[in-house]
Amino acid sequence: MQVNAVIRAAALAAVLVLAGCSGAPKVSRIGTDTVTDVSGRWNDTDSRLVSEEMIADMLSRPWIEEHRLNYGGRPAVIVGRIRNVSHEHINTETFVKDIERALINSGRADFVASRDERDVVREERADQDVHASEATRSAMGQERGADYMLSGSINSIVDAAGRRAVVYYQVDLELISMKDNRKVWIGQKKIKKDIEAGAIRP
Amino acid sequence: MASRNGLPACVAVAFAMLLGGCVAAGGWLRSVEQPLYHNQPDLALKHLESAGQKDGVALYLIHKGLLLRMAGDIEGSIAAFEAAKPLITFQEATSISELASSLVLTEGLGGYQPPPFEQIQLHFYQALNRLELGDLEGARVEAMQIDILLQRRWGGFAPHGADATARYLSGLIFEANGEPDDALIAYRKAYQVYREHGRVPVDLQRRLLRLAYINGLDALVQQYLREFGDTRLEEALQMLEREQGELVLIAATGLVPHRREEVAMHFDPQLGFSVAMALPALSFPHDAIASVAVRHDGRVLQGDEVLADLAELSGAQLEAEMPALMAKAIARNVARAIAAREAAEEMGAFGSFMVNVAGAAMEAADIRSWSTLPRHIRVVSVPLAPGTYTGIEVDYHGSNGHVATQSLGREIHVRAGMPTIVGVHRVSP
Repeated sequence: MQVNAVIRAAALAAVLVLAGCSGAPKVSRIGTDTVTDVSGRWNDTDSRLVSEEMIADMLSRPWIEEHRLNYGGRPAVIVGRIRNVSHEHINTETFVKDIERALINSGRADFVASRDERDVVREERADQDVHASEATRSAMGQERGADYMLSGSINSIVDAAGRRAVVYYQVDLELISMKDNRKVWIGQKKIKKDIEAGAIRP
Repeated sequence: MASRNGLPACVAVAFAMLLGGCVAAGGWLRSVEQPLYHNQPDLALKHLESAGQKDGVALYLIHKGLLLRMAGDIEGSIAAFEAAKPLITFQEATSISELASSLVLTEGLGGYQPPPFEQIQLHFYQALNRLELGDLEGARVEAMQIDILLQRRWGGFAPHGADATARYLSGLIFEANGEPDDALIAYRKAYQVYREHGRVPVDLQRRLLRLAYINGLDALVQQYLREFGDTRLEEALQMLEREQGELVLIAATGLVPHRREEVAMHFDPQLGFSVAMALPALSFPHDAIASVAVRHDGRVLQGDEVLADLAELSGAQLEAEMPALMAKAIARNVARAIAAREAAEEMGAFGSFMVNVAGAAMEAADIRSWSTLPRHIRVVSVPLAPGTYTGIEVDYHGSNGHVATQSLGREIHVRAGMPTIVGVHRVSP
């Protein structure tokens, strides 16, 4: 009877162990704006929230009206370097795209292509010079120059011990006038996360 | 009745055989390591992939990441290492079923939890990968992750001085990112660890002096001069005076010791029970590379010095694990002895025999380790005028006198006042 119990216990342990080694992944579709924190690391929600809030702040400041009064029309912005000095591999390109989307969709500013994008467009324009009809050809030297450059950094401070960590992200952005190097806007957004990983796993 | 009583014992044997197939033996890895002695990481990778993930996904991924790096697939290596990171963090939590199985059944049934020096090496190689792609920011992230890992797991310093080389690399990365203050902090921590656990590399001494000077810390400069000697200052400031840059070659050579199983078995006629203890021991492969030098335009520029001997870390780690491993092996024998006695009472000698057979079949040491890691990490630091270099070569001096010269095979851009960090990896000359 007791031997049976030992074997049952051993079999149970084996089932538990083997259960952890197998099984097909379970996938379900969720909305892209659903907040889903899996690891506590910087994620799409952080990127979206920071970009939307910072752009809303940027567009509510006086520089945009001053630009309209001084030069007329919408200001053109280019994204410079967003430096990642945090402890995570953050895809700053995704973050920059979120900023571009939020700014363009506001209808209050134009975005000009970045250095890499411009190279591709220029290559295509040079190709058009040879292969496209005159009526449909885009001429050289007609690019829209940026009025302002947006640059900044993503920083983090981590206080961690054992299975618990408090992570503090700080995103700093600034808008610099290309004409005279004036900083016309400085924005800052902070996120603090308290992450506690389970001490027991299956 | 006899057949009913015999059934549980048969189940036990079948169960033992089943588990025998699952036990993480790790011995299959010799087929992965063998091609590395002939500097064939592609072949080693093929062997690894055909063997699959039998020792757990995390261990598979770190082996794969390193082999891909050695084979020149840096993006693939980065992806493998990144995939391994969350799995390793997950393994930090205690598993009741794995703990129970290690106390009653056998070691090595659960996921692989790398020891401290292996966890740090993962970030070390990932940082070198990022540097290889010119991603200084990405390398900086790894330096930050090393610091957080050390803080979170071991209060700032890893056991057995396993963090010294990683701290040194972090300093280089901060220097390359133009952050001399953070670089000095990292170098000072590296110095503290090296001093506690052995010899302080001369290159680190020079960097400490130079960074203390750059940061305007005169008292610290004086302290280092007392500790390292006056000659170091001249060497340290040479780069600043001549507005030079430098090439810092991080060379990984040889293979780290791998774990093998040592089994002790003894039948005690009085107890009517076989005592079986399987424990890991280390096998030390010889590092056939005795030294490394950097060569340019046919001229040897500089020789190396050893930053880390992973054999020492591996040995210290196993020594630290041994008391717990022995205690668990004893616990398993006690559990088996109780089961054997009860089986003898219920089913007689046959039952006891079957439980003994099952127990002995199950007893196995966990000999898993990141055995594709190098034995030595070396540094060659070469002051160079700023510019682009194409013909830089590395000489690998074998302990048998043979020298193999290998081109870096890419352009090296040296900036004034900054280290340009390049990683190479070779098992044999």
